[in-house]
Amino acid sequence: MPYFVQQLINGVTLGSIYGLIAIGYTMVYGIIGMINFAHGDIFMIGAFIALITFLLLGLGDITWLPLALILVLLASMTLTSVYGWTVERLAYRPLRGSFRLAPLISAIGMSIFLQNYVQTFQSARVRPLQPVIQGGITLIESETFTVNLSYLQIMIVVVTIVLMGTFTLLISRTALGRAQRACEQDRTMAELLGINVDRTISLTFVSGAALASVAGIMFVLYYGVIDFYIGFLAGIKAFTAAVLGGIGSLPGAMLGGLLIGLIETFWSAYFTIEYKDVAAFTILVLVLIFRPNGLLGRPEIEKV
Amino acid sequence: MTAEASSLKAGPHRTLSRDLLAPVLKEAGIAALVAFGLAVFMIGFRTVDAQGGLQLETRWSWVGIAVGAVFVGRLALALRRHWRRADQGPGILSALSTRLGAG
Amino acid sequence: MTAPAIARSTTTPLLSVEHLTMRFGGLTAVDDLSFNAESQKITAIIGPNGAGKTTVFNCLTGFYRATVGRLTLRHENGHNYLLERMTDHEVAARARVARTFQNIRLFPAMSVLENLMVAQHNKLMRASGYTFLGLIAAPGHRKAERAAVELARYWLSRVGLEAQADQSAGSLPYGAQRRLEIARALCTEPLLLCLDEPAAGLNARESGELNEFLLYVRDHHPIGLLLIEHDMSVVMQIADHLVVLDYGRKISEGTTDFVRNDPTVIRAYLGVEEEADATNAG
Repeated sequence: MPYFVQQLINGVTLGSIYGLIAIGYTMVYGIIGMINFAHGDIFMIGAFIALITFLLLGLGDITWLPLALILVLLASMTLTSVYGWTVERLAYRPLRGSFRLAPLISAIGMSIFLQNYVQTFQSARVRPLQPVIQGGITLIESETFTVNLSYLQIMIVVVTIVLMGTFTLLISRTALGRAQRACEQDRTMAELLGINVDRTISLTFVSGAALASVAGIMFVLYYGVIDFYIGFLAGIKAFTAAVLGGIGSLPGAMLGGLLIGLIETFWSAYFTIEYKDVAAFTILVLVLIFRPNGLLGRPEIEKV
Repeated sequence: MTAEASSLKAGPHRTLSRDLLAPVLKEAGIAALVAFGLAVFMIGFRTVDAQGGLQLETRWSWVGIAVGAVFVGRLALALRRHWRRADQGPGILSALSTRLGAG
Repeated sequence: MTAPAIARSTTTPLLSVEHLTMRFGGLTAVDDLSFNAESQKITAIIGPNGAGKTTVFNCLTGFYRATVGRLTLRHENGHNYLLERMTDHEVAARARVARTFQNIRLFPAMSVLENLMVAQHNKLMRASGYTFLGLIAAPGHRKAERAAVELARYWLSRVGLEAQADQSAGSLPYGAQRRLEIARALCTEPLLLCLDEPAAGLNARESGELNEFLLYVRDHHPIGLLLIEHDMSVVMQIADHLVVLDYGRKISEGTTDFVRNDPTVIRAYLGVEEEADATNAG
């Protein structure tokens, strides 16, 4: 039982990170019907910017942790958003109105470009970061197993919940969210009502990138090592999460992320760590066979 | 007389180039700013392995090159587009010379 | 080319269409069309199917780029907008031209009220400080939202849909969807409202109510209405000014009485029935 609780905690933490990345996939898919394969690499860039900011803060002797975290958050979210914006502007917008596969191929190209870019300008080797947030709470102590809930895990889950709440609010209550949903349903009509559709799409990429950067910060804090390749696997997992939950659906992305995180963790804990990815993707296949629109997905609306 | 003629000739050119210059420079400036945002951390700092963790190396000249290249590139693109749009815009050399004169 | 015989009115017109020509490859959908539309007047473009009426709208709203021609929209502050040079969201947001479609284009998955809120996007976006103020529920933003809801409710009550505000737009019956689409266009606070066959598919009662509503808008709001109709009987009752198109050309223009008795119009309408399906330029 204690072992189970520990794995549950680990799984929820991992699931939070996947969920945050998955939102970026799902929002972009919702608005332009395209899988942004470079999104995982945007997450990786976010992690790198966070790492560099941490090192800079270390040089500047900013040791008060809350301040340091806020500065890292600001730096990473802002600069990663610039990457998200640029990728859309350079690689996708010129292809809008082209055939359906064109932006997808462009996205794959962008993904490879970003990996090589980081490999060239940073390093191909893993980049370690000393633990920044340490300590935790011991929940259960038995003679065989101790269940720990680290402060970092609490922070990850809390930040994720806050961000998901914020985004749900954004989509449902603000002018931007309404414009996004309008663009999803009828882009031309949205344009004729005075909505700048290009800008709305840009903002979707920017907000997706900002969330991915938060996931990147958490990743670098949680695992302590990153390299230029982390975006690939995390991206695929988060994409899987988005599809599992029902792509285009925001709560679906959260649920999907959580499920993938839990499946992976429990599989590694009770079976073998080697096949954890197989488990996650098997569940995906099963869900898609029985619920092609994902767990919370709506049936595809006919697009004009 | 010749001075008058040349000033008459320069008049429309100058207004044309000024009309053209402001948006083109703005466009290139924004692109350069974005490039700076992209480059400032990812190119400006390099993490290098060191004893007991990582250290940072700075490479501001690289950032400068990247930003400069984007500025020039965007400027060239924007100018080309403006000239294509204007039916009888000035030739590239005369426009550049008025621009350099004005700037 | 017939000289544009536009009656010189004392006030400058809201919209001037001058020598509008739209070609698609070898096909000329609109040929050298000139007319004016005034604020607080109902101007109707009529003509058989395929006469190029919808193409005129598409040029006006930035959907198509006119091959030739100038489309000027004048604001009261003296600012002129050349619509042929603007993109469609600029036409709506800055020149303040709104339009509806013959085949209704609502956002079916959103509620009736939300459809009207989307139409007020730009001012709400500004009020929400590009979203951030909206998230923290800043007072300025909440005030703007309330004002937007108020405007939405005003038009909803005018078209008789107040009770359905929270239903999804897709679930409304056809006639109600059409009224909602007009209300949504009005929520963009337009100066020129372009209605593409607003009475299409409505029964006699609904169509009568619609006419009354359009007259109300004309009389109580500083809006010019421009509408397309191929059914003359609908338009004759409410239009102040008619422009008759046939094969993309203007064949007549004037008051309803003038147009009704114009032999060229009668000829076009009587002789056109079989050919209407053959040409499909609009």
